[in-house]
Amino acid sequence: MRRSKVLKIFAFLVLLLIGGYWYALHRMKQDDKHHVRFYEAGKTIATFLSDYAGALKKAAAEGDTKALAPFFADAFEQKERGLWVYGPVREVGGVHARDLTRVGDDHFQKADVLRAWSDYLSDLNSVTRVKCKIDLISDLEPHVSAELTVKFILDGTDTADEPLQDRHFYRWRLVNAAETPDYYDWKIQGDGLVEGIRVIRSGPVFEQVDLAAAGIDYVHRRDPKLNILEHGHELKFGVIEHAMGGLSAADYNNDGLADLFFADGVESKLYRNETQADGSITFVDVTEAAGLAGIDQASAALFADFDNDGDRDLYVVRYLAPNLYYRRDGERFTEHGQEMGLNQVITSVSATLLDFDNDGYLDIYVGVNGNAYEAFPRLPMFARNGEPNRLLHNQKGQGFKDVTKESGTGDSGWTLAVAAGDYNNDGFTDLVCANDFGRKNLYRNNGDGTFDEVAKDAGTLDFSGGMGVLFADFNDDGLLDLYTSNIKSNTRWFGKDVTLDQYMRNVARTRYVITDMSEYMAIYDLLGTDWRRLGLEVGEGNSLFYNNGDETFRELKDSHTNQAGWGWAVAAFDYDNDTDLDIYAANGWISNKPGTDL
Amino acid sequence: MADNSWNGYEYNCLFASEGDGQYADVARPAGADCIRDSRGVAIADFDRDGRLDIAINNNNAEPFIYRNAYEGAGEWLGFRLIGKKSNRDAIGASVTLTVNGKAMTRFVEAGSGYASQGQTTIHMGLGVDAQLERLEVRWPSGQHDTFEKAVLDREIRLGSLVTLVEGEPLSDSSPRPE
Repeated sequence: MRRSKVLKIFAFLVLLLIGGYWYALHRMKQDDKHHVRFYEAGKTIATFLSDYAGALKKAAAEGDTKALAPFFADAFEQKERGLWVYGPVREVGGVHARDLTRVGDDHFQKADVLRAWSDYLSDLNSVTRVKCKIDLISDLEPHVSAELTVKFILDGTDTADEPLQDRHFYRWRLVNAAETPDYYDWKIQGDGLVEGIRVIRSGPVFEQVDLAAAGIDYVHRRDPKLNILEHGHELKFGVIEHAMGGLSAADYNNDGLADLFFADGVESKLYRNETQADGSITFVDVTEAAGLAGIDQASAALFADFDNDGDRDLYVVRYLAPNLYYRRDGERFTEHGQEMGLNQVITSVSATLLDFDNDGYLDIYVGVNGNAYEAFPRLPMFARNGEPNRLLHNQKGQGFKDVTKESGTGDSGWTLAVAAGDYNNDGFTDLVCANDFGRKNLYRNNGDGTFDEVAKDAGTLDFSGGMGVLFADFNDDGLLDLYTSNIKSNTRWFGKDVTLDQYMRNVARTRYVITDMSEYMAIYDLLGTDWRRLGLEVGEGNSLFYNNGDETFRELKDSHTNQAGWGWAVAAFDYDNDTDLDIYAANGWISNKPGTDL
Repeated sequence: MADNSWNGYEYNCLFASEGDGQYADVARPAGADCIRDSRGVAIADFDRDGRLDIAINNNNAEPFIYRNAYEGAGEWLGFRLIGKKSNRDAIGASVTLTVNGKAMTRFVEAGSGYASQGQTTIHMGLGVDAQLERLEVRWPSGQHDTFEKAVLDREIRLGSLVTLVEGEPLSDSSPRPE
């Protein structure tokens, strides 16, 4: 009796399991189909937007909106749309800016909206570039309709022939007008303004220096050992060759002028700044004279007085070759990497300096990526299989000791960028890393030679393809804030829930679900049931975090500093000397033939 | 890699502060929107005119240098810190300068952004009609040096590079060495 009850329960459980498995497979197949339809529809929308941009440019050239007309549904109707007009001019850092705002609440039909675009174009003397990209698809019924926000960028000149740039965000409602099933013929059925700005030149701010006249003949070359054409069959992560290009503007010879060192794949260069008091920027190539000829495979370089003898030494960060340490004696540098314990081969790409134990000597924190010959970032949103970063403790100028393990700073993400700063004002310098395919790590210095990783509690996980990071006090409260650069790939819509789910489903069917289990557990630990937002967060672009003063940060999502591109270096500086820090953000991944941007 | 671009031909951004946590990208009309595949960025006043310039290393391309020629720029001060007990380059030190009622904090760092190092001296924009009120330097050794208005008025000339030596009084600021 008792035994048969156990059997019954067992049989029931087996049936439940089989049934559940069958149901899961069925659901996964359904979801797969849904995903394919979603993805295909998304691609057609991207094409529609690109065609629309082309048509707008054509309309501008022809002075007639007839090229635009086919993009709007004949039944276009937008209640309470209103006119979109530029507000008053305001001055921003030497440039004029005008916000685009909605005026009135008139209902618009197709003729009205075309007239509005005609008026818009008549304010422009010329149009040189129009870009129209999906910002985010909020709702999509494949083959039927879509709602999305659209990013619109136009470069041109105004009627006074001043260069300008318009950047708008619209809400568009699209309908599929194709009569044949499975075909797409999107039309704009309704539109709304999210926000927009026009920035217009009002005089010189920055002028590009003629490099030849300034004495600079340098052109960056990639590391031949990472050349994908020659080594592609051995490389597991060949695109890393595109990542390099470090730069230093330290005053290496202490003459009060910032010099330039270009970290290069083939031959790094040191240029001494010889600009005279009257102005025009002049450099002289002193690579050879300074004893620095032949530094290849370099990714970054830092000049600092590591031995406190009054002149600046040089630490060169390399990827596949030993890192280098040059001591400066008189006019020349001589290499002492091995003797100083700084000749590790650790696939390093960046570094930052700090005196983590305040002993008066500068220590080095090295940002280490993965080894492209041995590994590929295993999870695109949370790769932890890189090589560990290194913390190298300066032994009073006599050498360096690797204290990574005891300090707890060996972040194993695919680190690209590192920075140092005392964000909690406790007198001990903390560390932050930006990891590609992952998250940010924030290491709080405990003051006893150890660090705690506190990004989750601090609110600075900032999941994304992390590319750059800096500390600076942006809001003048005496506390260091954080700014990070991330990958914004114009395909953020691909990160929406449905596609993240698809990724998980794909993975669930492979053996990687086992090997990656610890990463999934870690994601769950960091985000809990909120893990689905990961797909959205990774596409949000750069992030600005203000310091709350209680060891936490808040993100300023509406600060208009996140819409960059495929981010790299970021820098905080007050270029107009108005007392507020501004930000420069480098962008761009791989440019090949013009006009083939994906 | 196929012969096409992948987020290629992207313009760099210059986010100009509008105050209150608001910024506007003015890179294009400001003439600093380098379209190359930019990597390292180093900020420095290369021509010593009191306005910060931008140098960019671009992957597989020529670098860009943007000279700051903005005539509406405010007044400025530079600070060169020399550590005694602290590391000589004073990396990790912070300078808080109160100007016209606003306290600004900048710190000395080496290595940030991405694979980049800017000038080691601190550059502070001061706006117009700058009245210096207080200067506080916090050194990594724990040393705090504070200078009040009377000393600043006597020793500091706007538009110069001031040398600050850890634990030492302010001495007459001199023009940058030639």
